[in-house]
Amino acid sequence: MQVELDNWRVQVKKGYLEMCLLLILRKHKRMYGLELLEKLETLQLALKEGTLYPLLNRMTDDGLLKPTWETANVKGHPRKFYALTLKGVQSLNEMEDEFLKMTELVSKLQVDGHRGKK
Amino acid sequence: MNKDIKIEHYLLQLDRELRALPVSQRAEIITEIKSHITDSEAKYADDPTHNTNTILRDLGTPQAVAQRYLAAKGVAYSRPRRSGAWVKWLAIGTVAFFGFVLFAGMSAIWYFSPLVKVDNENGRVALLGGLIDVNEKIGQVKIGDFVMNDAVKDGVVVHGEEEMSVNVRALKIPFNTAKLDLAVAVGRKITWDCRAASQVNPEVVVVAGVMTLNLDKLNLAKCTVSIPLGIATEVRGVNGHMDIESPGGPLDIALDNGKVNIKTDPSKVYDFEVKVKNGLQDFFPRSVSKEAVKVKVSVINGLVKKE
Repeated sequence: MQVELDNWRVQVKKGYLEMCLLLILRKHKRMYGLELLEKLETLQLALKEGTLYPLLNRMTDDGLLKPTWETANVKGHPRKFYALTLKGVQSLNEMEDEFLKMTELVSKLQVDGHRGKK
Repeated sequence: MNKDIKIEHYLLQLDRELRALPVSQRAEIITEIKSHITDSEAKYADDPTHNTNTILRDLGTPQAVAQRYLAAKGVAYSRPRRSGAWVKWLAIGTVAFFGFVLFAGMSAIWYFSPLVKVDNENGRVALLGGLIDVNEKIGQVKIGDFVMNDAVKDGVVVHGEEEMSVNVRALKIPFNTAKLDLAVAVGRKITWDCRAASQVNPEVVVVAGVMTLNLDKLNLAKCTVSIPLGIATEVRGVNGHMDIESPGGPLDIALDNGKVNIKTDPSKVYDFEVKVKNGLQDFFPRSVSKEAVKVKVSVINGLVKKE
């Protein structure tokens, strides 16, 4: 059961995480990798750094994020800050709509089902 | 390992694993991961439970991280070439091949030139790295520890003689390791004057007109055999140093290792057939004259000299 649950969690998390990242970045305007990791951790959305960076990379390729290298105001080494692009903002809006539909559907199904009746 | 080296090693591996990507993209990824490591180190500077090792471990192996990058970009992950099985077999194959070539080469060198060192000026021939050493200057033939030269005075005297009846036409002398001199006898008697390690008389047998003087079993040091004129003589030796004076009848000498010295009789005509496989030989003239005395000398390793 644990294996199946983990697998399910991974599947669900994929899109969910991407949406959460966009949400965080919309709220905080711009953040760099480690900051994002810390934020995710406080939200108990623990994500491996080895997973986050490839995800950010892919979202950049998809045109959702706009990275900026910054060397000023940071100690000695450059940092890559991520911010939403216009496309990122639009996509996030659509995702939110879609997600709202999904949660409503899930709630509806839960009410119809055993657990909801309890 | 120094932490910087560890980080560089990690980044290098990551770069290798990402090599399916353009270099500019790789550089971007590497820089970001490096930045992450540096930030994490700063963040955990006062936390003893975190260090470079744990930071790198939390990132995941370079292979795993690279696979995620490539999967996220839809690029097929290809395993980098590593010192895998094929490299091992290539190495083994190469070593085996060169080993074989070396072996074949050494064998060929051994076969075609069995380590003969010839010093023409000093009349010296050394074979098999000096195992057999023919030294003209001091009149010595050395085979292993065994030294044969004119100066040998040791050993017991073995002297003998045998009347050669008229029906004896040929003589055979097998010998093993000795200094053997052949001289011409006066009359019909064959005589031998030897120095040997022990008192053993040579066996003399006559079969069908051929006399055999067997010196093979004697622990000879030095031996002078005087042969009546006109007797066809065949000498078979393994190791030796032979001095032959004025051969008076057909002579056939076969020697494996050593030296043969031939002093000719100026009043006679000789037809020489001299062969040295490895070593040196003087020029010996051939003749088609009917009166010519046939002298055949065959030496495998060594020297044939004319005096």
